[in-house]
Amino acid sequence: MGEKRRTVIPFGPQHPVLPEPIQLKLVLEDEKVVEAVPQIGYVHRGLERLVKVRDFNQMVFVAERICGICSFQHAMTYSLGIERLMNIEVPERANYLRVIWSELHRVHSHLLWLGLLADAFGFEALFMETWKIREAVVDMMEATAGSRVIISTCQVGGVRRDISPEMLQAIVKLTERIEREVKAIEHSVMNDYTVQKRTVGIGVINKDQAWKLGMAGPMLRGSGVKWDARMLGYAAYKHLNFEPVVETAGDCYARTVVRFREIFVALDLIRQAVAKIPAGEINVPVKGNPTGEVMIQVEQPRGEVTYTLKANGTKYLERMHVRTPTFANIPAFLTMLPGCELADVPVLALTIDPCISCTER
Amino acid sequence: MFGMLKPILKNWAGKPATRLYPFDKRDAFENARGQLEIDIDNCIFCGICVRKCPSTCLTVEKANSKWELDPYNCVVCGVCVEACPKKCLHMNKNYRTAAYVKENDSQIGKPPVKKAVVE
Amino acid sequence: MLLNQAAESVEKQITPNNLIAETQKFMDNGYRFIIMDVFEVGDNFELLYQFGKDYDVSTLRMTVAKGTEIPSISPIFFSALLIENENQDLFGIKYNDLVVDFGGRLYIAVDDVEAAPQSMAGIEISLVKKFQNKADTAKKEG
Repeated sequence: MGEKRRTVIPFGPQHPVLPEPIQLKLVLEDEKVVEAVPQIGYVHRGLERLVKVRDFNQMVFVAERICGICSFQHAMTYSLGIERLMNIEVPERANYLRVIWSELHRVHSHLLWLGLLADAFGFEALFMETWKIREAVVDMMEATAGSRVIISTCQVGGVRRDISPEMLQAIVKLTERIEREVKAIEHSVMNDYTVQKRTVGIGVINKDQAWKLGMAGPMLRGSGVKWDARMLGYAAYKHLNFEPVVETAGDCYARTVVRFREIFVALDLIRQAVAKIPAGEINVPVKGNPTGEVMIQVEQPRGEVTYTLKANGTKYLERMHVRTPTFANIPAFLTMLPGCELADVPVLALTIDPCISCTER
Repeated sequence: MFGMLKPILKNWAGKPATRLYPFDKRDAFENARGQLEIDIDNCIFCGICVRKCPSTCLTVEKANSKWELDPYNCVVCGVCVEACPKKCLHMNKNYRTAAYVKENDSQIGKPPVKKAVVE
Repeated sequence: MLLNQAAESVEKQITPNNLIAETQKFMDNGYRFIIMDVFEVGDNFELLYQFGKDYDVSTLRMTVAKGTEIPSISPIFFSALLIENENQDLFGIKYNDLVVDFGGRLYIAVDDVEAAPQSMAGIEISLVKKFQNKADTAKKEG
């Protein structure tokens, strides 16, 4: 008589809120989620197996197709790994160009995420505004690199294309325009009553738990841990100054604030890089084959990605293992779900910034 | 609560953010990578493009002087364009249009000319 | 020797017997679990466990023959469950006492309830049985 009725609702794999297929079987008591049973594997492509048939120069193109939104950082991590194994010194101009393209990717990824979060709780006007601002960034990628989403400009030994001084000035003008337009919507994101009601106090993770659960990126920084893989100093980040954005509350609102402020930090980094970029070569020729094992970490928009490469002296690598930031955040997502309401599940799913195609490669 | 009012009024009073395609088309940017094209008369059928291609969409038969591209497999990365020793491959900036039938782009070039030898 | 972005990398060789003890040491010293890699070397698997604190990375390396059962570190580090389930799928490595065990079905599509995760699906299987029993008794009465 006193026992509450339990219902099992399948959330996904097709769902209007989630960008990619993941299924959660939610066990509910009235409106509260009691348990969540996950099921992934709908987009497993087996990309790591391709190391056996594509040589190490062609694998850059496979690596950048693991994810569409953070594709340049995948290619850059792979190239950094091979360059570390073969002791290749990349020219300075190539390092700065890599920083400019990486930060452009970060801006467009955070704007995309902001639109999806707004769509998750029904704020479609904000969704359309942020994607309209994002169009300008994607057009700039097409103008400098040749394609809108997967730009194929990073290679082992440097970059494949140069950006002319006029185009660099156009990029600076673009950053000023984006900053103006994002500031115009800042008030309706940060101080809006509805947004705060849906995100404050949801999915709280404190600082100690965040580190022990092995989370990555804005999830860590929203809980008070000051950790950003860009401080490791790869590419040209050692010459630029910036501070990682940290908030202490640990709920969905803090993570939204972290990602929002990171847009401004990324725009500032682009301007610094354009001011300091030296003239010179954009790539060096690559001779020979790599040998050894290496592990590289790079900060993607969603967190830090870890590539482990093993090579044995032939032109085919032996193993390429990718650990994407969403892979590290999913166990944390599973601990956040029990205890929340059914209407909070989309907000929690989007607060980890899921990129399921990265997770399942 | 009224923070969104200013952008909304600006959008309502200004011109639309989208363009009325197909009546108003935007030209592609200068260095955009759309589709792969070849100047078949300069091709020497060495096969370097086939070896460099990451998506195995090219086939070259030297005996028949034939160069074949599968445009539906091609990822327009541009590695073949950089690798070609005769620079006969180039990227058209417009993406390929939709078609009813998927067919390969197969071209026959000039057979190799044998040099005259004094006996 | 595994290179990384630090000037020197810290690596230690271990066996399956002292894996749990070494992992507990990392947990007590405030490290987080980054990733676990598997390399196939002849008839053996080489497993690398990577832990990080601040910006340093420490590695534990373990060589086991194919077919050995390995203790799982997911009771200590909860986030290790996803990569250990993936290794069960891709390499066929068997783990003891995983916190959530997908039974080799993480990446393979599943349509029936029996193959869903065993330890968390206890409630789901019992619910289905309860509804099935209700339907059977209704048919008998009606």
